[in-house]
Amino acid sequence: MNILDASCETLNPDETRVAIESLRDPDWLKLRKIASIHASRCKANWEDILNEAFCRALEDRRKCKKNLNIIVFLDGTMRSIANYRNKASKSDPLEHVIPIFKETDEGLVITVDLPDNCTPDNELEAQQTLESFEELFDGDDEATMVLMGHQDNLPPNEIQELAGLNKTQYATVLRRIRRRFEKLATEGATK
Amino acid sequence: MTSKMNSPRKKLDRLADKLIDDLYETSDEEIMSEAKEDYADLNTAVSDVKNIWQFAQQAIGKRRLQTTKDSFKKERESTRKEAPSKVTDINEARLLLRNLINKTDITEKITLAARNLDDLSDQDVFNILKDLQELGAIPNGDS
Repeated sequence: MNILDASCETLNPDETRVAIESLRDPDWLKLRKIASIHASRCKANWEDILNEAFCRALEDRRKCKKNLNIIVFLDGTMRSIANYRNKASKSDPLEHVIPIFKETDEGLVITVDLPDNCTPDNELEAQQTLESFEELFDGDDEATMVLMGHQDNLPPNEIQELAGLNKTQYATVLRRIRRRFEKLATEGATK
Repeated sequence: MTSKMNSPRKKLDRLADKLIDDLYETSDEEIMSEAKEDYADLNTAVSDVKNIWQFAQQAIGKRRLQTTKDSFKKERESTRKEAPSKVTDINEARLLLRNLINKTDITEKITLAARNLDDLSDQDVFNILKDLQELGAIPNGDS
């Protein structure tokens, strides 16, 4: 592959604009729903997350591959924005650096282990979001099982087996959870 | 101790990813049907998103205009600093024009033919400088 081929693989801002303009009503709604889910990951407004994703695409700060669906591209951009916002949480990450002391031939060497991207504040925020969400399904055993299964990264067939659901029932429960999640995310941001 | 894989953040991320996967598996008809139930007004729900798109385009457009405006301003100020107050001497005029031509941002404003200064008559040199003053590329010597 030569350099020219590689440069042709992504949409330029005008092509990105055209691709977004060509979205249909269900696509716009899908984007709205995706934005509200990503917004709940970083306690932001879905409008802000989506607006920022559009701006990054228009400014060519994030490039869309030509063979990629524009919604998938914007989804990835919003995910990246949410991750960035989580990393840039208010706490000073240096406060959470873990010093590692090691004896070597040259004496005591101190290195540091940087914790994962999230600070305790950020983890607490995630915990609160999960708890407020779980409360919504208090008494709904099926939803609670599916919810917990996905949090723990279990495969769908295992969740279905544990929750005693067939494929269709599982899909219905998952959809119920998603719609509640979107609703919570939208309402949460306005609080 | 909570491992990184089981931290609340990871759990929330995994759940969010799964729910988005479910959205991709939802047909357009189902999305529309859900939206009718979930939003007070379907048209407003769609136009809310389209409005965000419009706002983003306007914001980027304004940002681009401002950047261009700033760049023009910077270019004018830079040229103004180097330009003489008034040019009457032909050698000085040729030197000034040559310096301007050598600047990449100015060359675009001068025709290709004019780049070969030695072929220009004295009058042509004064005329080009006058044109450039009128275009605002260099300040008017009288001002």
